[in-house]
Amino acid sequence: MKNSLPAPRVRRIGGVLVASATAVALTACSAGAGDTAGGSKLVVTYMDSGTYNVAAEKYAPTFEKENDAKVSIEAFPFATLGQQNATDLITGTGAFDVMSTSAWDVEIYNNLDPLTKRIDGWKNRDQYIPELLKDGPSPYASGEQVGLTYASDAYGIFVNTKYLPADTTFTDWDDLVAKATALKSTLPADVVPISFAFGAADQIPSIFQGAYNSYYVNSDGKWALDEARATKAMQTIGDIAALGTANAASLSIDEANENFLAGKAAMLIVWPSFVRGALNDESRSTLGDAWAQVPFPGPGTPALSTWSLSVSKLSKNKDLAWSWIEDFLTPEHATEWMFTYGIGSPFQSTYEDPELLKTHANDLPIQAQNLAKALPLPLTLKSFDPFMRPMSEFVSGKGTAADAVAAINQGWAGLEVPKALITTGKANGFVQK
Amino acid sequence: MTTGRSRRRAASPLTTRPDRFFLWVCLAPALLAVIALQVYPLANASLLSFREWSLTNSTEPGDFIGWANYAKVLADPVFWGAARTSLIITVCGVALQLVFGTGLAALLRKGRALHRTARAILLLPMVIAPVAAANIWRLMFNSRSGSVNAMLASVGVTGPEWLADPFWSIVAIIVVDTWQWTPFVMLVVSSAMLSIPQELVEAASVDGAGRWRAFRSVELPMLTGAFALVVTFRSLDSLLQLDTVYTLTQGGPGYSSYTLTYYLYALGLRNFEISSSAAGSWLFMIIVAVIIVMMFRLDRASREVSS
Repeated sequence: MKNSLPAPRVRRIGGVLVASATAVALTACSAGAGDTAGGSKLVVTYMDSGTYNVAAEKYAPTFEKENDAKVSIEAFPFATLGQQNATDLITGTGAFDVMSTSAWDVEIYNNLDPLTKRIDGWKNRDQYIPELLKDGPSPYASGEQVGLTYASDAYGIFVNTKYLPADTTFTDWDDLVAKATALKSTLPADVVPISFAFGAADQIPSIFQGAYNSYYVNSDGKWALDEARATKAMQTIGDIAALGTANAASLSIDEANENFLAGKAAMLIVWPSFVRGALNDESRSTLGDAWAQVPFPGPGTPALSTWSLSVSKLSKNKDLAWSWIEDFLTPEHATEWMFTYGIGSPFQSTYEDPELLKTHANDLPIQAQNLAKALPLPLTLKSFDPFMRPMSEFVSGKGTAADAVAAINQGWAGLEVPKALITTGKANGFVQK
Repeated sequence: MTTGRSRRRAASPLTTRPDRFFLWVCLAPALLAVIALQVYPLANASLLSFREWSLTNSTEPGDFIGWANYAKVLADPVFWGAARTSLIITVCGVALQLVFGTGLAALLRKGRALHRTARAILLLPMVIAPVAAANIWRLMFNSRSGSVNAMLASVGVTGPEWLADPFWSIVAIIVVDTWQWTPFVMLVVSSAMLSIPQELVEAASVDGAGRWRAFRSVELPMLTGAFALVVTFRSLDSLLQLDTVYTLTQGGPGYSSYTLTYYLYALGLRNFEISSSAAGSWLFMIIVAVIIVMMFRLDRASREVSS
């Protein structure tokens, strides 16, 4: 007896298989065609922070109406935004027209459209903080500016004026540690001299940058730290951790802020935009007006965080993309969003507004002062990991300050510094002469 | 009289050429899928691991550079630290899951309603996405406001800095892995226990063995196959896990909870070192394969000894 299927049935099954495959292929083709259709559509990336992306979403309908365009805001968490931008550019996908870029994206700057000419003729240029247009604070590739900063923040120090006067200044970080140590014995038992988010390991380098005044790239064009000076700066990190709460090593940004807002810390070292909203909100802060931002001490520089809007070289709507940047980034929007969402304004006019100065004199002048001297570290994400992890290990009690510096130099040993970063690093004094 | 060849032919349901053709037509999509989804990526990764390619420098793979990528990964102390951490998490986690899973299976083997309900509740952690589970535990491990240290404080113990201490961060990952996957071990061991003939256990009690002795001397040896299965699956899963580490500790503090998968993730998807990441992936695969082969050998040896 033959145990086979009848031939008509085989043909029928085969026919069904072929028909199914054809249907799937046609569906895929039609979906693809739908994706590429559409004239003035703009896709813009932002960090999913609940601030930048919210401001963009709020503004998008106005832009759509004025420009007869469709805007899609794609928000990604910080951890993946850079990856999304980079993957889109280096694989030639071209899904995003305007990208939110930061100093960490230096390796993709060459894939961004030059904006120098557009920025030269930009209507709001004269109200902008001039230092933010320079290479370093702004993204540059081959001498061309490839992005315009829409959010800027400089690492800051806030004091509780119940324990330290509003006009406190520190000559350097040694002075800060000495004053905080002296203050410790005078504070109530439940108040610590300094609150800082050591548990957020990526924040620790901001103290290092403030306390370190030497090179990050050596004369051979390799990432490296001056061991003696770096060890001293690293020790400062340890000293500050010892002046915090018992669980200082595990404090998140929110917890560190909460300590200060609840009056449990005399000083807070933080990105001002992370805490300004809460400090100005009586329902979230117990301090009332008893706080002030004080100048960030040297000998290093305050860390600078900037988010810029850049146009992808792959964009098919470059003019419309620039229109988005130009219309999104106005002094009016920046001032409004600084106090609504905490987004640091890049316009000088915000910090010099007489009306705002009446109510924010304890914050805005110092913020502008810190912004003018703040710089981004000459690092990529690839080199930041071996930079911050040894610091985190040191804070958690593993090894000495010198061990941490040696580990950083070892971790950097095999990495190549992108050319664009050497130019920027030289301009900002971060390259060994 | 039939020959051996004709007997084999008679045993095969598909004997004619059209039948065999139809068989291949049916198999072709699956074979193509296997080649496309498994063989091709592996072969491609293997080729890439011998070339120079960092996505930030070029969108195309560069020249062949021999074993340089492998040498680079093998010379990286972070890779060896990550391998050590992965092994610690896997060995400790799987051992704890085996002990707790077997214990729970033994305790809840009866078909009573209470046991059935307890079993259903205990299965819940297994159906939670690892990212969500790790998020929940991250809040619980918070040294100041988390419930773990609050519970420890209620019995007079000062809890550690779970996520900020190099030692305790690894313990935290092991705890989460154990909490989430002990139910899987319980499930498999329960099924194996149900298949043990009750006459053997009864015979042991007739011979004077107590419940513990009967469990240890009669049931436990018969569960060896289930244990081997569980250890293999769980070891593989544990070695491959990324989500828990990513969500709970981000590999920190420092590099202390960097696992091999986190290392490869950082190398390939954050630093865009495609060829080094491919080399690392192959090394990782070899390490995992060696571990699995060792497990199978141990299992076979233990079966031979027990038989």
